[in-house]
Amino acid sequence: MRRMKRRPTQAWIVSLLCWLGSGSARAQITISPPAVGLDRPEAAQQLVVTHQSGTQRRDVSRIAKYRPAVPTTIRVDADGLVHPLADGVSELTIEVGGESHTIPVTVTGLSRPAPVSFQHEIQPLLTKARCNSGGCHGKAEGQNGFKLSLFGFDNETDYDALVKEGRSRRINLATPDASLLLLKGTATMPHGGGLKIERDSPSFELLRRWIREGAPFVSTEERHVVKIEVEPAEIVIQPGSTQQLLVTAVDSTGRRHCVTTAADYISNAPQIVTTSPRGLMTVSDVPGEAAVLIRYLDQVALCRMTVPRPNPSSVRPAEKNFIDRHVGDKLVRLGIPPSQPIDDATFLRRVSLDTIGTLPTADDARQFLSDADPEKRRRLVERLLARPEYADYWAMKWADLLRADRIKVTPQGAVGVTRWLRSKIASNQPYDEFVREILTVQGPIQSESPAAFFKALDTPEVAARSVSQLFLGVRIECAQCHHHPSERWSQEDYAGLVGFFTGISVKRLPNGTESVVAKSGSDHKHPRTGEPVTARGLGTTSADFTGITDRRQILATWMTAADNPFFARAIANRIWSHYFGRGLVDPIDDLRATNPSTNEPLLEALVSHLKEVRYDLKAFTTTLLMSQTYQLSSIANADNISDFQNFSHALPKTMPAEVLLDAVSQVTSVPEKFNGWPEGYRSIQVWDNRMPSYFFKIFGRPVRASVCECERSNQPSISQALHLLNSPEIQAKLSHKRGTARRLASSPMTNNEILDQIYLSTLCRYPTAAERTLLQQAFAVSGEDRSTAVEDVFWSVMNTKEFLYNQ
Amino acid sequence: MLQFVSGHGDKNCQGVTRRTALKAGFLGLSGLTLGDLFRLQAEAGVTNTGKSVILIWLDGGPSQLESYDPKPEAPREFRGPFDAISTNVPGIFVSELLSCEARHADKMALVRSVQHGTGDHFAGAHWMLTGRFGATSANSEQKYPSLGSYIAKIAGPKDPGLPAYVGMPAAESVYKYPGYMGGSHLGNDFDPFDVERSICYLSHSYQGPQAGKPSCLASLTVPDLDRAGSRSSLRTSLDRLDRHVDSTRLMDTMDQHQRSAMSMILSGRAKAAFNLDFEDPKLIGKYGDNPWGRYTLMARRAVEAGVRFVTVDMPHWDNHSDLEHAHAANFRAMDRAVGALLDDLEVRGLLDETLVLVMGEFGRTPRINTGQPGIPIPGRDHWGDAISVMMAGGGIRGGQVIGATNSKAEFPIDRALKPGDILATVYHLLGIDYHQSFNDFAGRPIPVLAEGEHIRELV
Repeated sequence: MRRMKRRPTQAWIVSLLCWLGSGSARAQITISPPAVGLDRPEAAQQLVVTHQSGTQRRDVSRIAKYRPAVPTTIRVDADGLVHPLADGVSELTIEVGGESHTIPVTVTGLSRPAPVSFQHEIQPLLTKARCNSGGCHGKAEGQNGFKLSLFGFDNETDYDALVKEGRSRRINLATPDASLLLLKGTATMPHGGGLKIERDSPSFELLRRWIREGAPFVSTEERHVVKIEVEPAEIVIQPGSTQQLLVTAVDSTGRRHCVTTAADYISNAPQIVTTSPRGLMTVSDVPGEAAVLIRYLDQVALCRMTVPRPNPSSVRPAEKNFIDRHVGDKLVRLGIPPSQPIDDATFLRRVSLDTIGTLPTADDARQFLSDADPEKRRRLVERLLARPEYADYWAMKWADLLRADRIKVTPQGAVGVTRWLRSKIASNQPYDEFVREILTVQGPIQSESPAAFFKALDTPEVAARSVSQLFLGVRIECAQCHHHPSERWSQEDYAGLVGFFTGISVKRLPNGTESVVAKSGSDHKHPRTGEPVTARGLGTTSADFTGITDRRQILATWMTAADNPFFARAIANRIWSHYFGRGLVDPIDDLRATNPSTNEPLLEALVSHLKEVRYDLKAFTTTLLMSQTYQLSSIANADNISDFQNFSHALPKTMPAEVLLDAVSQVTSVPEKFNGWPEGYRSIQVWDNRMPSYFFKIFGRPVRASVCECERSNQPSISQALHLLNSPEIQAKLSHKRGTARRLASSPMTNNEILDQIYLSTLCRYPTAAERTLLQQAFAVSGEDRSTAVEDVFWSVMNTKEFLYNQ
Repeated sequence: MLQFVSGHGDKNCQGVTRRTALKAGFLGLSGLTLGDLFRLQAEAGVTNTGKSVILIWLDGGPSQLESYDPKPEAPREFRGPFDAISTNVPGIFVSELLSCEARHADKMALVRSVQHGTGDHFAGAHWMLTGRFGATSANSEQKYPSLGSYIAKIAGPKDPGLPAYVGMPAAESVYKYPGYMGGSHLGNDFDPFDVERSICYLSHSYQGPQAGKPSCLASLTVPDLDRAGSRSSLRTSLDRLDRHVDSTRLMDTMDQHQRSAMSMILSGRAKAAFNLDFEDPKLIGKYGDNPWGRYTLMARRAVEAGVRFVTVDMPHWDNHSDLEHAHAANFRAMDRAVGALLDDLEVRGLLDETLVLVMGEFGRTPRINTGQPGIPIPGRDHWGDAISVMMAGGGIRGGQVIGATNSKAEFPIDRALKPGDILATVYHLLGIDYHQSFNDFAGRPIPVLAEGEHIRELV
């Protein structure tokens, strides 16, 4: 695999060299940083040399020739990393493509090195070597009795574990080289984790020096890192090329030092960009965008890389509203052409399944297909959003998220939430009011209200992280136990949010029912220090509870305020994801700087639009559905086939368990019978999430154990395939004596008319000529026995991907 | 049931019916190639060892004293009514109830010192099956993926035409389906595939119709496969007319599952995997002609055909009363099935690639009680401090006892182990890195195991 990838890169280097040699007048070489300063024996400065010609930029850090003026002062390795050899002031000449540039070099601190800092040098080293990762010593239980905090968020504890515990064997001050840290890390002694630190590497030398200096917790010279910077932070880069990153830490005194080799790199799209521990990014042949997360100590930074197609297209989708403009901008930037617009049949099926979770009937399809009104799609959307199934379907979706699990919140509680949801969704209550009602609910959990949600959220901590994930799209859970590894959230932020829910409890009333009661809460304690943390919204410093008994009211006000950075964004992205099959930010409830949107201007425009329409979700939904982007085909063309995140084509969606079962029941005219329920109820109306049903079980109905939509599995399985192809239940529907197949077979309809009817009811379209020819064979083979043929055709169509997916 | 009406397809000049030809064409399409499979496995980060696992799940909690950790020297109220017998490995003794397994002790590793400390069925089962404390009787949802689900996810099926993870008749723990055998945050596609979901939770003395051919593959039993074949080719032809529909290949997985499902219904491979009609009745007799014996035999057929992980459900071990008869009868039935399985695997040369794991959610109280209310016949209660687990085959070094409990089988006095150590050993034998992580519903990376390391003496 690796060898195959290397070939185009080498070819590219050769062509680049020729091209550099041709001496383009406008070509320009830039070197970063403009001066090298190394102040300790283990320091190393990455150089990034860039060749810019017009809009084309290339990283030539590994092609350039490095010539130190005084070779005894510094050494530059093949990767462009400068290492100190002796104190002194000198120069470094960099030659590339016939040009040469000289930068100043200063080396200090070698003869008398500054002491090593545990917090700022040893911790990142342990993180980089993965010693404190979740699979090794960083896990809650540690590993073989040696436990470090995850990613080194807890300096004191880690220091104690290394230096004070383990009977001085881990760090041996008397004989530094006998320290287990060195012996195990280098696999000199047997180590379950294997070789983590090469002997005689700069990391090894740094560790050894720290131990020799007495392994102090606080060194005489602490430099607190306040931010890290990455260069380049945003680039357009050619497929098949590479880019060296330069990561610089800035400390509280403003001093800068290179941490390129010490930082961690994580690509959010490894199919587009892969990373190396050295900070070298390798771009694949797949056009698209990737964001590389860079982590050092508790700081994070991001490098966004755009890889355009080699032969870019400038075709845009027709512009029906602002969505298409932003999608078009992005597609043109990447050179990806959009797919074709869909026909009426596909639109009818797609939009019906998406909005109301219900398949159109054959009559619906006939009518819509023959309607000549040019505005018929808009009118269809209006009709669908007014249908009771819209409220049923979205109430089901929200009941999942609000965890209306009959076991957890009692059947009455689940019914109460579902009814409340249905009525709020039917009346199209503005979303901010809807959330405010949920957040501040009090009273009996059996009532028609969202009170049961707070029964499902057992503790203030569960409430805080659930509310954060569901309504803000912020997964704060990690910060309960440690600093969030890819976010700025700390345990302090976590405790601050928990403080809003400490006054909430579920009280048992004398009549045996339960009620959500809000009392004035208290500040939650910091999980590690035990100090109370002032309750406050994420990213804020305080909140005012004067005259307030239910702290959640302050939370609701903060969340729904116009300037809240998360609230509108989270719901805009969630609804987008429902209709387009993927969030602009994905996963949808993981909004953070380090998991960027694939189209930020679009997401911002959607957020503004949502606020403009005052959180009217039906209006917002209409805007999405009327865009050309929503109405693009799921059939990819040769040039957009590998795009899955820029909406150049629609993404086929699996149907939720309930929707699929309703569809099967509807097309066969045999309603599903739910135990204890009157006949005729559709699955999307069944509030009972524990209704025993093999169909629901294998098609991934969630048990409502979390507020994440991801709990609803949409992965096909062999059990699903087998059930649809060969189960007594499905077969019974097909051959039911009052079912569609029998009815059609015994009707005076011609075979062709029967085929029309089957296709319209399942796929909302008429069969093609080829399909007619093929399916006529079924009739020919079965002879007189038309019902066998109709069943066979029905079975075949119902098991096509076109039926099983919403395309 | 699918009622396939016999068709009368015209024979062509070669004497092959049109439908047969269609069927052959269809089967030619089925399945991934082995190359594809290995590529997928390579991407999943697994060294394919080609090994399978059969988990014999003793739901309810088997006694350690009446099985792999007898204490013949203990006072009678601990020792129980049964003697210890020697095995084919000098110095290793088991309960007299395990006379069949005693002949295979050279293949078996008896781990006597597993301890999780809980007497809660839910907590114990969750711990044994996922390697983690998570559920309790008060909050009994599964919290982490099961052993079988991880193996299905990471190693996949050995034969792509078969499910990776199968429950026989249906995977279960503490009355829940799949209980703690499910996929949890890996997704329900890593739940076990149950071969018989209508009749399950069967005791060895179940008198109803005996297992033979799973009803989900019922068309296997219909003499005329023609209609199934023709339907199937009709469907694939329809899908193929519209090939461009799936140009992005997002629906590939469904395609593969449909092909596997149809080949299970139509092809000989699934017959081989799940149909006991192909077995000699004498062999069925050796395993025990009852649900436990029959499903254990079916499990052997399944792994032979390429299923990766099979759970054989042997429930009804919660004998607070009636140690002497009910509990003992369970052991005899289990022992017969497992003894026959080890024989059979050895004869077929499958032992090195098939790991057999026998366990339940906990052990039982060393001191015998006076029975439970209403049934005053002595039994044993729940005990989470001394659990015996048996492992055999799959490359394990047999003829060993790992760990030891005190003289009354109350708690480990040597090599105390956690359930995670057992699971780590299974993962290790299958070449699976149990330090790797998968994201949970909140996006946190959760390692396969949080505690435990493979038992080095065994591998």
